[in-house]
Amino acid sequence: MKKTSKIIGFILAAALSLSCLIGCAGKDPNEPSADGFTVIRFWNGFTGTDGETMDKIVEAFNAEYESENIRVVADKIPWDTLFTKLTTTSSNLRSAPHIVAMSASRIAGMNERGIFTDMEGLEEFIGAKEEDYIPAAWTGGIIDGTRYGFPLDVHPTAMYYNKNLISEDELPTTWDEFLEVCIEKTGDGIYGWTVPSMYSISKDVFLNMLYSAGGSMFDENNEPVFNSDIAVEQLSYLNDLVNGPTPVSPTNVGSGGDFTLFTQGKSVFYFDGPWVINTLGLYDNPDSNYGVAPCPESIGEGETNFAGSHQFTLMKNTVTTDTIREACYTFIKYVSEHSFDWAKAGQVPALKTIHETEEYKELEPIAAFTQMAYTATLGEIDYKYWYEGYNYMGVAVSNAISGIMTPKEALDAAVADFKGWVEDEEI
Amino acid sequence: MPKKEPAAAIRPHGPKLRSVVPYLFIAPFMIMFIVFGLVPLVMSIVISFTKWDYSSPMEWNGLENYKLIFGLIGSGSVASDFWNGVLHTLLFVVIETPLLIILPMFVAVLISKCVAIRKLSMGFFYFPSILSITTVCILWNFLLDTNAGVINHYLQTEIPWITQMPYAWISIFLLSTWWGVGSNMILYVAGIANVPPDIWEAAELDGAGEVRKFFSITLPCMRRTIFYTLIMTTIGSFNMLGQSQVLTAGGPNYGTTTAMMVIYNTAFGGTNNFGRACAMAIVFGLLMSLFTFLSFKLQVSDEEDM
Repeated sequence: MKKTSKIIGFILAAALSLSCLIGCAGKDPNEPSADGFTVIRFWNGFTGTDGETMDKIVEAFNAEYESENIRVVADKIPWDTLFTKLTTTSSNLRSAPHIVAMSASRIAGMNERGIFTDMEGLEEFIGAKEEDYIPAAWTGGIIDGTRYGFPLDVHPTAMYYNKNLISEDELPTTWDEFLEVCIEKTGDGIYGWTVPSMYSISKDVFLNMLYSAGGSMFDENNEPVFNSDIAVEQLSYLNDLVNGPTPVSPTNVGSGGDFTLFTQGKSVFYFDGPWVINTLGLYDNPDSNYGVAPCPESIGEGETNFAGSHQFTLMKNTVTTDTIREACYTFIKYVSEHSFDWAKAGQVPALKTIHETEEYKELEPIAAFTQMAYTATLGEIDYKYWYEGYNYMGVAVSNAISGIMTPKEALDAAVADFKGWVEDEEI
Repeated sequence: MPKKEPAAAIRPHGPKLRSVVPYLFIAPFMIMFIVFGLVPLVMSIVISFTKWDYSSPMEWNGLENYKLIFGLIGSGSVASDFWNGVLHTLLFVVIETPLLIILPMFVAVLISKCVAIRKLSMGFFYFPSILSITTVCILWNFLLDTNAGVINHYLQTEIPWITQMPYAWISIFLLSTWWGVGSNMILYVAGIANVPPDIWEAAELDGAGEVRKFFSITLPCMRRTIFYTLIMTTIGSFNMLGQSQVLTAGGPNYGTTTAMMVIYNTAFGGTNNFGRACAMAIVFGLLMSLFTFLSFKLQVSDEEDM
């Protein structure tokens, strides 16, 4: 009797405690909601002005497609958390997304785990043609000939400048000119460019210079070559800006320190992506003290630069029916066609026809980024370990600029570390 | 006087209920413990013998993850990253744990003496503890910036607080101490308040000074509180992640990368090597258990001596 009571008690307690967990359960996402809508979960990491804009685009889509019973539920998750959540929920049908916007550089690595479904028929559905999109963005989502990502935008790294410290006529177009201008402007508490020494934008500027000079991160066999002579030469240039005989930057600039000094009027130049247009309020204030120009040696015939690109991807475990797939394609098409607003959020839309509209041309600060986007490369991002190699390269750039190692030592060490990591990863 | 009804008459199923009720009370905890403690632990042990990225099917690979961690196979890259992380964590534990035991005690004693500003002081010291580590790191990042930071500005120095060694570690200790003093201080203030006042009075009559009273009364009376904070602070220090992740990004040159950071990056950093991360977590967990066990033995032998 006593034993039976214990068992009953335990079952009762278990039932009580689990009841709260049962409440968390939901429906299969491929089934229409109670009100008959096809609900699409859309995850993205746009948490700034771009996030607010994406919310408005989603809102407008939901209003327009209410009659077709399609509803998109957007979830903004900081990028790092997004990838963690995506990994842990990709097989959970109740919470996994259908569409995820992510950096093109992460697609190959994530695809290796088989979490994406290919975007078969999307181009026909949208009526998208290669010539209508920025080349780097168009190819950025294609792995081994199959499309896993559809381009939303391109975001190069451009050169912001303080108009109080430099006139438009003085802006450099080559890295030699850049050095000359920086040397000329440095003094009395003013620096040419405060080069961040921590893991930061410096690595993207380094890649800009590397690709522009004809180098690359990986060769055609996916062997790391970011310690090539060209790479050492470019990193030495950056290192000299800080530690050379005529430094134009203070040493030990921490994370965000470059932006602080730029906005304090102590730095002529500042390098960053197009999202800073909104941070500096350039759209709202045409008379701002700040301007933005393409990076030296990044535009024009034969030039190139390194950029990132956000792409839409579809999840294999949740996009399992034609209805869901069509709803996803409808949403991607809508965002693509309405990406003028996306430019106002501080990104360069991948669809070229947007750039030709009068209203886009009036968005003067995005022009520099748009010019760069046309000649941009995303790097060898179809290699599954490209993103990891990029991180190892970033540490090398930081070590060189911090004066911990010489540029060659730093790049050689990073390549050796990366090769060791790959060897262990393949076990 | 009316005769009292027998309990059984009021509650006909009393004995049955009485035997069930205790289980009802402990069941929520037990279920949570099993679901979020025991099951993940057992799963971690199982996963540590596999190659698994959460998406692909799990592949059994025996002791390979452990062999990699101990550098018996592979390039030694995994072993070097992990043990460097462990070494940095031990450095943090050895320096930060005493700081977070001694300083809060000192503050708690002072606060207990200053009755007039007690509440205000407690709020002042406890405030940082309510902030998340990310907020604290972002705040200190602004304060410690070499060229634009407030601290260098007022000190009239150019100390590379975050970007060079050993300053990166000094910054982490400063920040962690500022953040952690309040939590232990609150416990110590409560512990001091629980010391029976007659013991103080007796000591005063015997002519004991403040220092003598502290070592002969306060400390022995707070033995259990100190033991609790020691264990919790040691475990907390072993789990240090946010400071390295947000303030220094593990740099310069991986110099502040901790074991938790290596484990986190292995699991979630790109290739999602959960099997390897679980093996690292198991090895690291065993190290933590060893430290906790040693602290416990130290406490027990201390109590036996008394």
